[in-house]
Amino acid sequence: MEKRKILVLIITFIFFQNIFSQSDYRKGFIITKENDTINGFIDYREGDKNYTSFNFRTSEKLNHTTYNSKQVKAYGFVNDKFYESKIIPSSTKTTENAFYEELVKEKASINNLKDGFYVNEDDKKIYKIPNELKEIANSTKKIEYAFFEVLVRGKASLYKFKDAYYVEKDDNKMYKLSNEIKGEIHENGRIYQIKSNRYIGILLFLFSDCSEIKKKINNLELRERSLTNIVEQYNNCVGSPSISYKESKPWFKTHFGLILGASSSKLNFYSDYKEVEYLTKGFDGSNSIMPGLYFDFLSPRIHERVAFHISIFYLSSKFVSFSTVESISSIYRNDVTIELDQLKFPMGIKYTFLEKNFAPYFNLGFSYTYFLKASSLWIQERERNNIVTTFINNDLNIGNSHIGFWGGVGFKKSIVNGLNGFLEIRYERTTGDFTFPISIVKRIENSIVNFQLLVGISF
Amino acid sequence: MKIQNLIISTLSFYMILISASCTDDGISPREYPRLETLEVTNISESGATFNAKIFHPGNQKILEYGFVWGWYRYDPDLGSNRVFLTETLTKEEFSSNITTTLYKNQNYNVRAFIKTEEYTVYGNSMPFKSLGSKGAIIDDFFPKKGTWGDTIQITGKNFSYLSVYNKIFFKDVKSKVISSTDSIIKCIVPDGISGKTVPIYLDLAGQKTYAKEEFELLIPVTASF
Repeated sequence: MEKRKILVLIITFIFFQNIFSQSDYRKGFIITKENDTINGFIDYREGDKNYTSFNFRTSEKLNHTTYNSKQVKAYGFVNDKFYESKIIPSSTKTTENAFYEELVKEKASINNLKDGFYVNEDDKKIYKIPNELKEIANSTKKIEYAFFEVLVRGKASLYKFKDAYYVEKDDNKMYKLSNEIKGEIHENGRIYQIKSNRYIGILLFLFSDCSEIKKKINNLELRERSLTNIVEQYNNCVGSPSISYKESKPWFKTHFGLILGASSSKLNFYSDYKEVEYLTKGFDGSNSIMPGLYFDFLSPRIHERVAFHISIFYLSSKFVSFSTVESISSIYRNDVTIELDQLKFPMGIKYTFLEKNFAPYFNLGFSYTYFLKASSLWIQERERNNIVTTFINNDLNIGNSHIGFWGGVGFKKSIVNGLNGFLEIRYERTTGDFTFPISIVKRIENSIVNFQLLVGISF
Repeated sequence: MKIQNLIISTLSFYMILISASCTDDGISPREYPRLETLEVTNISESGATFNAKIFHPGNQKILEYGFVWGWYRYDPDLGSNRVFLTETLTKEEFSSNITTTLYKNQNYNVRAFIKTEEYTVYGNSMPFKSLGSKGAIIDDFFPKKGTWGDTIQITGKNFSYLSVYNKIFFKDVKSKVISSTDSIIKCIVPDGISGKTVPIYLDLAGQKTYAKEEFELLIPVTASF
């Protein structure tokens, strides 16, 4: 068993070393501070790194250069994501603080202000400058730039920065669309959260010149898809041209595949009771063919590489154990056979590293196993004075399901257009009910460990 | 090239896994034969069929085999009702139609057994509920005449090996059975019978079987005193 674990570790190490050494450069462009557009190739990544920097090269053969949000104005992929460098707005500002921030942005310093007071030319009001703001103003670090993904560009524009969404109208101030938890209500032993729905208020205010979408805004969810749709609808409503950079990518996509797998399974029982020693002494492994199919559900427009994965497998396993227990007067020989016909439903998250000809991936999640048929047979032979007495017992009750977790690594490779082949190794560990109706040991801890090799085609 | 190496590594790994966990058909070897008593079939008022399966032959010569049965509370053994089968075992399974010794609506346990040179192996106990059985067959008895206290040997078929089951009556008076096999019963002519001839019958599991001939009772004659 230790040798197996070492082998798995070695293969996993080789696999991931191979994966991480590769990049996914796609056709893209950058817009410099001087508004020049340079075409080239940009490393396609998913995650928060896109908001801070990117790797760009003008030719596939050249080395890349890393740019951050202060160095370029924008970057994007052809018919895909587009990022724009913008100042990160503070998310918790009072009106006064917002005013000061504008002040700081415009002046970059408030050293010219006397005695800590500032007179606003617009409203002629006198503002006291708090000490902490002076420090902020004197420190240029506070003005932080980052790349914001432009989801929709138009009279109203929609931006995404990490997990937050921002809306901007007429190229003025960006408003964060948030939905903070304001408090909790405890009722009947349950906790209910009160949310601010601030994003709805902001959108209603900004889009007040289009009454057609008012009702939709009231029922809007704070999600990329619904926000994109509402901003597009607003721009249509006010007759403004609108660009959705990822329009060519579908919101929802399904991959389907057929699998022929091989499974090497091991059943283990754990107990300190002597009464069940015939189970805890260990079972031989069971090797079986495992046909199945799978579905990947993904939203390429939001995450190209992340999918919800569910597979269905049929697996028939036979676990056999033989053990001998000797007492003063007798020898007990135990043969235990446990047969399980299973339908397995592993489900979880699949992450594909590269969407290319060769696409490595890993996946993990939880697993549900339903036993179509489960039987156990315990044959005990007691030998005493050359008289052998046989006892057959099948009172080990097997529950009708197991649950557990699983993880796998694999890769898919394009065979022909639209058809991929894939190879994957998986580890799965499940547990469930093995009970004895007539015994002092009512339930016995157990696990089934499966090493699986999966080969298949996907569409 | 890297991909090919990866595939080869993965497949090799899996082959190691498969070979490392290879098992036989699940039968662990024994010197003695291993057997399972199967479900009792053909249960009727005429008897029942006992069945067994040898799932591992062992490596010892089989001397005797058959079935033992008794009340359901106990695991029967060779001291119980039994049947020895004489046919040479050629198949994995063997059966025996039992038409005697089974009481109506009585719960029993039956076990198959095999005797080898070194071991006596019993299969598992298999419970069943009997619907009854036919009577035994009395072919003959000897001597045909005698007096109180004499020993009579009755020959026939389907007797019980257990004397307690074989109830021999001379007319309506119960005889003491001194030994039994499935074909021979030895009993004592009971006191208290009278008449020139007396019918003999066997009451086995509620089924009465009469001898074809009657027993001639020789009454002692006092010659002198």
